[in-house]
Amino acid sequence: MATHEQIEQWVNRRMITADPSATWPDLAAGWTDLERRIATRPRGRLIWAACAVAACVAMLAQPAPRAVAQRYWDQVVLGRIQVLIADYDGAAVSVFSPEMQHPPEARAVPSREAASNAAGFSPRVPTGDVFTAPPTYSVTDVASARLRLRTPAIRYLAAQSGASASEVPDSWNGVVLEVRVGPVIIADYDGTLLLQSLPFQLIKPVDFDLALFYRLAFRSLGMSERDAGLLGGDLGLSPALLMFMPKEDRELLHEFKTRTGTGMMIAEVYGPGKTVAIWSGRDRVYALFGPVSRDFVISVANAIE
Amino acid sequence: MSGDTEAAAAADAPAQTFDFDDVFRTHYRRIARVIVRVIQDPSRAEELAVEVFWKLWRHPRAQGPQCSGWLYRTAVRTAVDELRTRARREKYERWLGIDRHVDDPERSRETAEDRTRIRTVLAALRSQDAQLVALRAEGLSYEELAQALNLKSTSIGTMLRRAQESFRQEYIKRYGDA
Repeated sequence: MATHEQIEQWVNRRMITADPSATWPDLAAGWTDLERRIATRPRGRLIWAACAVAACVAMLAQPAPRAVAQRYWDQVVLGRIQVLIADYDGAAVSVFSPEMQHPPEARAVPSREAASNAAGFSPRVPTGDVFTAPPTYSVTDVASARLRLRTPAIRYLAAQSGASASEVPDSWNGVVLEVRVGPVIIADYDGTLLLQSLPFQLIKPVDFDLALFYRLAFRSLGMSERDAGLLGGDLGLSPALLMFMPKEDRELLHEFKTRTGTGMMIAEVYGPGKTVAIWSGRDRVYALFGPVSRDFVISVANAIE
Repeated sequence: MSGDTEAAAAADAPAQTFDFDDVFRTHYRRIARVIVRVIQDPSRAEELAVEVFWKLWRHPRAQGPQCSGWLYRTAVRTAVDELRTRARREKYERWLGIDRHVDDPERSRETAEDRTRIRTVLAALRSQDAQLVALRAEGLSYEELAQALNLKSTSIGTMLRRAQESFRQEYIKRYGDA
Protein backbone atom coordinates (compact mmCIF):
# COMPACT_ATOMS: atom_id res chain seq x y z
CA MET A 1 0.00 0.00 0.00
CA ALA A 2 1.40 3.40 -0.96
CA THR A 3 2.34 5.85 1.79
CA HIS A 4 0.98 9.37 1.88
CA GLU A 5 4.36 10.70 0.71
CA GLN A 6 4.30 8.37 -2.30
CA ILE A 7 0.75 9.37 -3.18
CA GLU A 8 1.63 13.04 -2.82
CA GLN A 9 4.63 12.65 -5.12
CA TRP A 10 2.49 10.75 -7.62
CA VAL A 11 -0.16 13.50 -7.64
CA ASN A 12 2.32 16.35 -7.82
CA ARG A 13 4.19 14.71 -10.73
CA ARG A 14 0.99 14.85 -12.73
CA MET A 15 0.03 18.33 -11.57
CA ILE A 16 3.43 19.62 -12.72
CA THR A 17 2.31 19.47 -16.37
CA ALA A 18 1.17 23.03 -16.12
CA ASP A 19 4.31 24.29 -14.40
CA PRO A 20 5.01 27.60 -16.10
CA SER A 21 8.35 29.36 -16.35
CA ALA A 22 9.72 31.24 -13.35
CA THR A 23 9.00 34.63 -14.94
CA TRP A 24 5.38 33.81 -15.78
CA PRO A 25 3.08 35.70 -15.62
CA ASP A 26 4.26 39.17 -16.58
CA LEU A 27 3.76 41.34 -13.50
CA ALA A 28 3.56 44.64 -15.38
CA ALA A 29 1.04 43.29 -17.88
CA GLY A 30 -1.09 41.96 -15.01
CA TRP A 31 -1.02 45.32 -13.25
CA THR A 32 -1.99 47.14 -16.45
CA ASP A 33 -4.87 44.71 -16.98
CA LEU A 34 -6.04 45.22 -13.39
CA GLU A 35 -5.95 49.01 -13.71
CA ARG A 36 -7.93 48.79 -16.94
CA ARG A 37 -10.49 46.56 -15.30
CA ILE A 38 -10.86 48.83 -12.29
CA ALA A 39 -11.27 51.80 -14.58
CA THR A 40 -13.73 50.30 -17.05
CA ARG A 41 -15.76 47.55 -15.48
CA PRO A 42 -17.74 49.70 -13.04
CA ARG A 43 -18.87 51.76 -16.00
CA GLY A 44 -20.72 48.72 -17.23
CA ARG A 45 -22.49 48.55 -13.91
CA LEU A 46 -23.33 52.22 -14.12
CA ILE A 47 -25.02 51.66 -17.44
CA TRP A 48 -26.70 48.59 -16.00
CA ALA A 49 -28.27 50.61 -13.24
CA ALA A 50 -29.03 53.55 -15.48
CA CYS A 51 -30.98 51.20 -17.71
CA ALA A 52 -32.81 49.87 -14.71
CA VAL A 53 -34.19 53.25 -13.80
CA ALA A 54 -34.90 54.47 -17.30
CA ALA A 55 -38.46 54.86 -18.58
CA CYS A 56 -40.07 54.33 -21.92
CA VAL A 57 -42.15 57.29 -23.08
CA ALA A 58 -41.35 56.94 -26.75
CA MET A 59 -44.38 54.82 -27.58
CA LEU A 60 -46.67 57.05 -25.55
CA ALA A 61 -45.32 60.11 -27.35
CA GLN A 62 -46.00 58.64 -30.79
CA PRO A 63 -49.71 57.79 -30.99
CA ALA A 64 -49.76 56.68 -34.64
CA PRO A 65 -47.06 54.01 -34.47
CA ARG A 66 -48.49 52.94 -31.17
CA ALA A 67 -51.91 52.30 -32.68
CA VAL A 68 -50.35 50.16 -35.39
CA ALA A 69 -48.08 48.40 -32.98
CA GLN A 70 -50.92 47.48 -30.65
CA ARG A 71 -52.34 45.12 -33.24
CA TYR A 72 -49.37 42.86 -32.70
CA TRP A 73 -47.60 43.95 -29.58
CA ASP A 74 -48.39 44.40 -25.92
CA GLN A 75 -46.76 47.12 -23.93
CA VAL A 76 -46.29 46.08 -20.36
CA VAL A 77 -45.26 48.53 -17.68
CA LEU A 78 -42.39 47.16 -15.67
CA GLY A 79 -42.98 48.77 -12.31
CA ARG A 80 -40.08 47.21 -10.45
CA ILE A 81 -36.86 45.37 -10.75
CA GLN A 82 -36.46 41.73 -9.79
CA VAL A 83 -32.89 40.97 -8.83
CA LEU A 84 -31.73 37.39 -9.17
CA ILE A 85 -28.48 36.16 -7.75
CA ALA A 86 -27.09 33.80 -10.35
CA ASP A 87 -24.06 32.14 -11.82
CA TYR A 88 -23.06 35.15 -13.87
CA ASP A 89 -21.16 33.14 -16.46
CA GLY A 90 -23.82 30.48 -16.75
CA ALA A 91 -25.61 29.67 -19.95
CA ALA A 92 -29.00 30.42 -18.38
CA VAL A 93 -28.09 34.02 -17.67
CA SER A 94 -26.97 34.61 -21.25
CA VAL A 95 -30.13 33.00 -22.60
CA PHE A 96 -32.41 35.23 -20.49
CA SER A 97 -30.47 38.52 -20.41
CA PRO A 98 -31.52 41.29 -22.79
CA GLU A 99 -28.74 42.97 -24.73
CA MET A 100 -28.41 46.74 -24.74
CA GLN A 101 -28.69 48.08 -28.28
CA HIS A 102 -26.72 51.18 -27.38
CA PRO A 103 -25.87 52.67 -23.99
CA PRO A 104 -27.80 55.80 -23.04
CA GLU A 105 -25.72 58.97 -23.24
CA ALA A 106 -26.43 62.00 -21.09
CA ARG A 107 -26.51 65.56 -22.48
CA ALA A 108 -26.37 68.59 -20.20
CA VAL A 109 -29.37 70.92 -20.03
CA PRO A 110 -29.34 74.40 -18.46
CA SER A 111 -32.25 74.11 -16.04
CA ARG A 112 -34.88 71.95 -14.42
CA GLU A 113 -37.46 73.24 -16.91
CA ALA A 114 -35.20 72.30 -19.81
CA ALA A 115 -34.81 68.83 -18.31
CA SER A 116 -38.62 68.52 -18.11
CA ASN A 117 -39.00 69.59 -21.73
CA ALA A 118 -36.31 67.19 -22.94
CA ALA A 119 -37.53 64.18 -20.97
CA GLY A 120 -41.27 64.72 -21.18
CA PHE A 121 -41.84 64.65 -17.43
CA SER A 122 -40.92 66.88 -14.48
CA PRO A 123 -38.11 65.81 -12.19
CA ARG A 124 -38.91 65.46 -8.51
CA VAL A 125 -36.08 66.61 -6.28
CA PRO A 126 -35.68 66.42 -2.50
CA THR A 127 -37.24 69.17 -0.47
CA GLY A 128 -35.54 70.77 2.53
CA ASP A 129 -31.81 70.75 3.09
CA VAL A 130 -30.93 67.17 2.17
CA PHE A 131 -28.46 68.54 -0.35
CA THR A 132 -26.67 71.81 0.36
CA ALA A 133 -26.61 73.19 -3.20
CA PRO A 134 -28.95 72.98 -6.20
CA PRO A 135 -28.10 70.36 -8.83
CA THR A 136 -27.05 70.62 -12.45
CA TYR A 137 -29.19 68.60 -14.87
CA SER A 138 -28.68 66.28 -17.79
CA VAL A 139 -31.01 63.98 -19.74
CA THR A 140 -30.41 60.68 -21.51
CA ASP A 141 -32.00 59.62 -24.78
CA VAL A 142 -34.27 56.64 -25.17
CA ALA A 143 -32.45 53.33 -25.47
CA SER A 144 -33.58 49.75 -25.65
CA ALA A 145 -32.47 46.31 -24.58
CA ARG A 146 -33.57 43.31 -26.61
CA LEU A 147 -33.75 39.61 -25.95
CA ARG A 148 -34.21 37.26 -28.90
CA LEU A 149 -35.60 33.95 -27.68
CA ARG A 150 -34.05 30.72 -28.89
CA THR A 151 -36.40 27.82 -28.28
CA PRO A 152 -33.76 25.03 -28.50
CA ALA A 153 -31.61 26.73 -25.89
CA ILE A 154 -34.55 27.37 -23.54
CA ARG A 155 -35.75 23.78 -23.97
CA TYR A 156 -32.30 22.48 -23.18
CA LEU A 157 -32.04 24.62 -20.04
CA ALA A 158 -35.56 23.67 -18.97
CA ALA A 159 -34.76 19.97 -19.33
CA GLN A 160 -31.47 20.39 -17.48
CA SER A 161 -33.28 21.96 -14.56
CA GLY A 162 -35.91 19.23 -14.38
CA ALA A 163 -38.74 21.13 -16.09
CA SER A 164 -40.49 19.78 -19.16
CA ALA A 165 -38.91 20.94 -22.43
CA SER A 166 -42.26 20.52 -24.17
CA GLU A 167 -43.63 23.43 -22.15
CA VAL A 168 -41.61 25.84 -24.30
CA PRO A 169 -43.91 26.83 -27.19
CA ASP A 170 -42.59 26.53 -30.75
CA SER A 171 -43.94 30.02 -31.39
CA TRP A 172 -41.32 31.50 -29.05
CA ASN A 173 -38.43 30.81 -31.38
CA GLY A 174 -37.10 34.09 -32.74
CA VAL A 175 -39.48 36.24 -30.70
CA VAL A 176 -37.87 39.49 -29.58
CA LEU A 177 -38.72 40.94 -26.18
CA GLU A 178 -37.73 44.57 -25.95
CA VAL A 179 -37.33 46.75 -22.89
CA ARG A 180 -37.60 50.42 -23.81
CA VAL A 181 -35.55 52.64 -21.54
CA GLY A 182 -35.20 56.37 -21.16
CA PRO A 183 -35.26 59.28 -21.10
CA VAL A 184 -33.65 59.57 -17.69
CA ILE A 185 -33.22 62.89 -15.88
CA ILE A 186 -29.98 63.09 -13.94
CA ALA A 187 -29.61 65.66 -11.16
CA ASP A 188 -25.93 66.03 -10.26
CA TYR A 189 -25.32 67.22 -6.69
CA ASP A 190 -21.58 67.76 -6.84
CA GLY A 191 -20.85 64.19 -7.87
CA THR A 192 -23.76 62.48 -6.15
CA LEU A 193 -26.22 61.63 -8.91
CA LEU A 194 -29.99 61.34 -8.52
CA LEU A 195 -31.53 59.59 -11.56
CA GLN A 196 -35.22 59.29 -12.23
CA SER A 197 -37.54 58.10 -14.94
CA LEU A 198 -41.07 56.99 -15.57
CA PRO A 199 -41.48 53.19 -15.32
CA PHE A 200 -39.87 51.33 -18.19
CA GLN A 201 -41.83 49.18 -20.61
CA LEU A 202 -41.62 45.72 -22.04
CA ILE A 203 -42.73 45.24 -25.64
CA LYS A 204 -43.85 41.67 -26.33
CA PRO A 205 -46.11 39.75 -28.74
CA VAL A 206 -49.73 40.13 -27.72
CA ASP A 207 -50.24 36.45 -26.92
CA PHE A 208 -46.90 35.92 -25.22
CA ASP A 209 -47.22 34.10 -21.88
CA LEU A 210 -45.10 36.18 -19.51
CA ALA A 211 -45.82 34.01 -16.48
CA LEU A 212 -44.55 30.94 -18.32
CA PHE A 213 -41.49 32.85 -19.51
CA TYR A 214 -40.60 33.95 -15.98
CA ARG A 215 -41.24 30.48 -14.56
CA LEU A 216 -38.97 28.79 -17.11
CA ALA A 217 -36.29 31.44 -16.58
CA PHE A 218 -36.36 30.89 -12.81
CA ARG A 219 -36.30 27.10 -13.19
CA SER A 220 -33.32 27.36 -15.54
CA LEU A 221 -31.54 29.50 -12.97
CA GLY A 222 -31.93 26.78 -10.37
CA MET A 223 -35.14 27.75 -8.54
CA SER A 224 -37.48 24.96 -7.38
CA GLU A 225 -40.64 24.25 -9.39
CA ARG A 226 -42.83 25.56 -6.57
CA ASP A 227 -40.90 28.80 -6.06
CA ALA A 228 -40.54 29.37 -9.80
CA GLY A 229 -44.28 28.86 -10.26
CA LEU A 230 -45.19 31.26 -7.46
CA LEU A 231 -42.77 33.97 -8.51
CA GLY A 232 -43.52 33.48 -12.21
CA GLY A 233 -47.25 33.85 -11.56
CA ASP A 234 -46.64 36.94 -9.48
CA LEU A 235 -44.47 38.54 -12.15
CA GLY A 236 -46.94 37.54 -14.86
CA LEU A 237 -49.47 39.78 -13.11
CA SER A 238 -47.03 42.49 -12.08
CA PRO A 239 -44.09 42.31 -14.49
CA ALA A 240 -40.60 43.30 -13.47
CA LEU A 241 -37.34 43.72 -15.27
CA LEU A 242 -35.07 40.79 -14.49
CA MET A 243 -31.58 41.82 -13.42
CA PHE A 244 -28.88 39.29 -12.70
CA MET A 245 -26.20 39.77 -10.09
CA PRO A 246 -23.20 37.49 -9.86
CA LYS A 247 -23.11 35.22 -6.83
CA GLU A 248 -19.89 36.85 -5.69
CA ASP A 249 -21.77 40.14 -5.24
CA ARG A 250 -24.50 38.71 -3.02
CA GLU A 251 -23.12 40.34 0.12
CA LEU A 252 -23.10 43.75 -1.55
CA LEU A 253 -26.88 43.80 -2.00
CA HIS A 254 -29.09 45.21 0.79
CA GLU A 255 -32.73 46.19 1.07
CA PHE A 256 -34.00 49.40 2.65
CA LYS A 257 -37.44 50.83 3.36
CA THR A 258 -38.79 54.24 2.41
CA ARG A 259 -42.16 55.82 3.20
CA THR A 260 -43.53 54.52 -0.11
CA GLY A 261 -41.97 51.10 -0.39
CA THR A 262 -38.79 49.08 -0.54
CA GLY A 263 -35.55 49.75 -2.35
CA MET A 264 -32.23 48.07 -2.76
CA MET A 265 -28.67 49.22 -2.37
CA ILE A 266 -25.60 47.75 -4.02
CA ALA A 267 -22.40 48.70 -2.24
CA GLU A 268 -18.96 49.29 -3.78
CA VAL A 269 -20.38 49.56 -7.27
CA TYR A 270 -17.74 51.79 -8.73
CA GLY A 271 -15.15 52.10 -6.01
CA PRO A 272 -14.73 51.67 -2.27
CA GLY A 273 -17.51 53.38 -0.35
CA LYS A 274 -19.52 54.22 -3.46
CA THR A 275 -23.03 52.91 -3.66
CA VAL A 276 -26.02 52.75 -5.95
CA ALA A 277 -29.51 52.72 -4.46
CA ILE A 278 -32.61 51.97 -6.54
CA TRP A 279 -36.21 52.40 -5.42
CA SER A 280 -39.67 52.98 -6.85
CA GLY A 281 -42.02 55.80 -6.01
CA ARG A 282 -45.35 57.02 -7.31
CA ASP A 283 -45.14 56.41 -11.14
CA ARG A 284 -41.40 56.94 -10.96
CA VAL A 285 -38.22 54.89 -10.54
CA TYR A 286 -35.21 56.47 -8.83
CA ALA A 287 -31.53 55.73 -8.42
CA LEU A 288 -28.89 57.46 -6.35
CA PHE A 289 -25.19 57.04 -7.09
CA GLY A 290 -22.36 58.21 -4.90
CA PRO A 291 -20.54 57.83 -1.59
CA VAL A 292 -23.85 57.69 0.27
CA SER A 293 -24.97 55.89 3.41
CA ARG A 294 -28.15 53.90 3.84
CA ASP A 295 -29.64 56.60 6.10
CA PHE A 296 -28.85 59.29 3.55
CA VAL A 297 -30.54 57.32 0.77
CA ILE A 298 -33.65 56.93 2.92
CA SER A 299 -33.67 60.65 3.74
CA VAL A 300 -33.42 61.51 0.03
CA ALA A 301 -36.21 59.08 -0.86
CA ASN A 302 -38.49 60.40 1.86
CA ALA A 303 -37.75 64.03 0.92
CA ILE A 304 -38.84 63.39 -2.68
CA GLU A 305 -42.16 61.64 -2.07
CA MET B 1 8.48 27.30 3.04
CA SER B 2 9.44 28.57 -0.41
CA GLY B 3 10.86 32.02 -1.08
CA ASP B 4 7.53 33.12 -2.45
CA THR B 5 5.73 31.93 0.65
CA GLU B 6 8.13 33.74 2.94
CA ALA B 7 7.69 36.93 0.96
CA ALA B 8 3.93 36.49 1.16
CA ALA B 9 4.05 35.99 4.92
CA ALA B 10 6.28 39.03 5.35
CA ALA B 11 3.89 41.14 3.34
CA ASP B 12 1.05 40.11 5.62
CA ALA B 13 2.79 41.03 8.84
CA PRO B 14 2.43 44.83 9.29
CA ALA B 15 -0.91 45.60 7.60
CA GLN B 16 -1.62 48.77 9.55
CA THR B 17 -2.26 50.45 6.22
CA PHE B 18 -3.14 48.28 3.26
CA ASP B 19 -0.75 48.71 0.35
CA PHE B 20 -2.66 47.25 -2.58
CA ASP B 21 0.23 47.66 -5.04
CA ASP B 22 2.59 45.82 -2.73
CA VAL B 23 0.13 42.98 -2.17
CA PHE B 24 -0.30 42.66 -5.93
CA ARG B 25 3.47 42.55 -6.55
CA THR B 26 3.94 40.00 -3.78
CA HIS B 27 1.13 37.60 -4.59
CA TYR B 28 0.16 37.96 -8.25
CA ARG B 29 2.56 35.37 -9.68
CA ARG B 30 1.71 32.74 -7.14
CA ILE B 31 -2.02 33.32 -7.46
CA ALA B 32 -1.75 32.93 -11.24
CA ARG B 33 0.26 29.71 -10.78
CA VAL B 34 -2.36 28.25 -8.44
CA ILE B 35 -5.02 28.95 -11.05
CA VAL B 36 -3.04 27.56 -13.97
CA ARG B 37 -2.48 24.30 -12.11
CA VAL B 38 -6.24 23.82 -12.02
CA ILE B 39 -7.38 25.11 -15.38
CA GLN B 40 -4.20 24.31 -17.36
CA ASP B 41 -4.62 27.35 -19.55
CA PRO B 42 -1.99 30.07 -18.97
CA SER B 43 -3.68 32.93 -20.79
CA ARG B 44 -7.01 32.34 -19.06
CA ALA B 45 -5.17 31.91 -15.76
CA GLU B 46 -3.68 35.40 -16.15
CA GLU B 47 -7.16 36.84 -16.70
CA LEU B 48 -8.57 35.04 -13.68
CA ALA B 49 -5.64 36.07 -11.47
CA VAL B 50 -6.35 39.70 -12.34
CA GLU B 51 -10.01 39.02 -11.61
CA VAL B 52 -9.07 37.79 -8.12
CA PHE B 53 -7.21 41.02 -7.39
CA TRP B 54 -10.08 43.03 -8.81
CA LYS B 55 -12.36 41.29 -6.30
CA LEU B 56 -9.90 42.11 -3.52
CA TRP B 57 -9.93 45.76 -4.59
CA ARG B 58 -13.72 45.78 -4.37
CA HIS B 59 -13.89 44.04 -0.96
CA PRO B 60 -12.33 46.31 1.67
CA ARG B 61 -13.12 43.75 4.38
CA ALA B 62 -10.70 41.31 2.77
CA GLN B 63 -7.93 43.90 2.75
CA GLY B 64 -6.06 43.12 5.94
CA PRO B 65 -3.39 40.97 7.50
CA GLN B 66 -5.12 37.76 6.41
CA CYS B 67 -5.40 38.80 2.79
CA SER B 68 -3.09 36.07 1.48
CA GLY B 69 -5.47 33.40 2.77
CA TRP B 70 -8.37 35.25 1.17
CA LEU B 71 -6.44 35.48 -2.12
CA TYR B 72 -5.58 31.78 -2.26
CA ARG B 73 -9.09 30.79 -1.28
CA THR B 74 -10.64 33.05 -3.90
CA ALA B 75 -8.11 31.99 -6.53
CA VAL B 76 -8.59 28.27 -6.14
CA ARG B 77 -12.37 28.58 -5.92
CA THR B 78 -12.40 30.78 -9.01
CA ALA B 79 -10.27 28.20 -10.82
CA VAL B 80 -12.45 25.24 -9.81
CA ASP B 81 -15.59 27.21 -10.72
CA GLU B 82 -14.01 27.96 -14.09
CA LEU B 83 -13.40 24.26 -14.65
CA ARG B 84 -16.99 23.41 -13.87
CA THR B 85 -18.34 26.30 -15.93
CA ARG B 86 -16.22 25.17 -18.86
CA ALA B 87 -17.48 21.63 -18.53
CA ARG B 88 -21.09 22.89 -18.52
CA ARG B 89 -20.47 25.26 -21.41
CA GLU B 90 -18.78 22.58 -23.50
CA LYS B 91 -21.71 20.24 -22.89
CA TYR B 92 -24.14 23.00 -23.83
CA GLU B 93 -22.18 23.88 -26.96
CA ARG B 94 -21.95 20.25 -27.98
CA TRP B 95 -25.71 20.05 -27.64
CA LEU B 96 -26.15 23.11 -29.84
CA GLY B 97 -23.63 21.75 -32.34
CA ILE B 98 -21.09 24.52 -31.76
CA ASP B 99 -17.52 23.29 -32.18
CA ARG B 100 -15.07 25.63 -30.50
CA HIS B 101 -12.03 23.37 -30.83
CA VAL B 102 -8.97 25.46 -31.62
CA ASP B 103 -5.62 23.95 -32.56
CA ASP B 104 -2.74 25.13 -30.44
CA PRO B 105 0.49 24.86 -32.41
CA GLU B 106 2.62 25.90 -29.42
CA ARG B 107 1.85 22.81 -27.44
CA SER B 108 2.55 19.25 -28.30
CA ARG B 109 -0.37 16.93 -28.59
CA GLU B 110 0.92 15.00 -25.62
CA THR B 111 1.06 18.05 -23.36
CA ALA B 112 -2.39 19.14 -24.42
CA GLU B 113 -3.66 15.66 -23.61
CA ASP B 114 -2.00 15.73 -20.18
CA ARG B 115 -3.61 19.06 -19.45
CA THR B 116 -7.01 17.82 -20.49
CA ARG B 117 -6.57 14.85 -18.17
CA ILE B 118 -5.76 17.06 -15.18
CA ARG B 119 -8.71 19.32 -15.91
CA THR B 120 -11.04 16.37 -16.27
CA VAL B 121 -9.90 14.70 -13.06
CA LEU B 122 -10.02 17.92 -11.00
CA ALA B 123 -13.48 18.73 -12.35
CA ALA B 124 -14.68 15.28 -11.26
CA LEU B 125 -13.48 15.71 -7.65
CA ARG B 126 -15.37 17.36 -4.82
CA SER B 127 -14.68 21.08 -5.01
CA GLN B 128 -12.76 21.14 -1.73
CA ASP B 129 -10.63 18.15 -2.73
CA ALA B 130 -9.71 19.84 -6.01
CA GLN B 131 -8.80 23.01 -4.13
CA LEU B 132 -6.60 21.09 -1.67
CA VAL B 133 -4.77 19.20 -4.41
CA ALA B 134 -4.11 22.36 -6.44
CA LEU B 135 -2.91 24.49 -3.52
CA ARG B 136 -0.68 21.71 -2.18
CA ALA B 137 0.85 21.23 -5.64
CA GLU B 138 1.74 24.92 -5.56
CA GLY B 139 3.69 24.27 -2.36
CA LEU B 140 1.40 25.64 0.35
CA SER B 141 2.16 24.33 3.83
CA TYR B 142 -0.51 22.64 5.99
CA GLU B 143 -0.89 25.89 7.93
CA GLU B 144 -1.32 27.93 4.76
CA LEU B 145 -3.83 25.40 3.42
CA ALA B 146 -5.86 25.66 6.63
CA GLN B 147 -5.84 29.45 6.48
CA ALA B 148 -6.68 29.60 2.79
CA LEU B 149 -9.59 27.17 2.95
CA ASN B 150 -10.87 28.06 6.43
CA LEU B 151 -10.21 24.55 7.71
CA LYS B 152 -8.93 23.28 11.05
CA SER B 153 -5.16 22.92 10.90
CA THR B 154 -5.39 19.71 12.97
CA SER B 155 -7.44 17.96 10.30
CA ILE B 156 -5.64 19.26 7.21
CA GLY B 157 -3.33 16.24 6.96
CA THR B 158 -6.21 13.79 6.85
CA MET B 159 -8.25 15.88 4.44
CA LEU B 160 -5.30 16.40 2.12
CA ARG B 161 -4.47 12.70 2.14
CA ARG B 162 -8.06 11.85 1.18
CA ALA B 163 -8.12 14.54 -1.51
CA GLN B 164 -4.89 13.35 -3.08
CA GLU B 165 -6.01 9.72 -2.89
CA SER B 166 -9.28 10.71 -4.60
CA PHE B 167 -7.30 12.45 -7.34
CA ARG B 168 -5.10 9.37 -7.83
CA GLN B 169 -8.04 6.96 -7.92
CA GLU B 170 -10.01 9.15 -10.33
CA TYR B 171 -6.97 9.53 -12.58
CA ILE B 172 -6.17 5.82 -12.63
CA LYS B 173 -9.81 4.94 -13.22
CA ARG B 174 -9.87 7.13 -16.32
CA TYR B 175 -6.33 6.91 -17.71
CA GLY B 176 -4.46 4.12 -15.94
CA ASP B 177 -1.30 4.42 -13.88
CA ALA B 178 1.01 5.54 -16.69
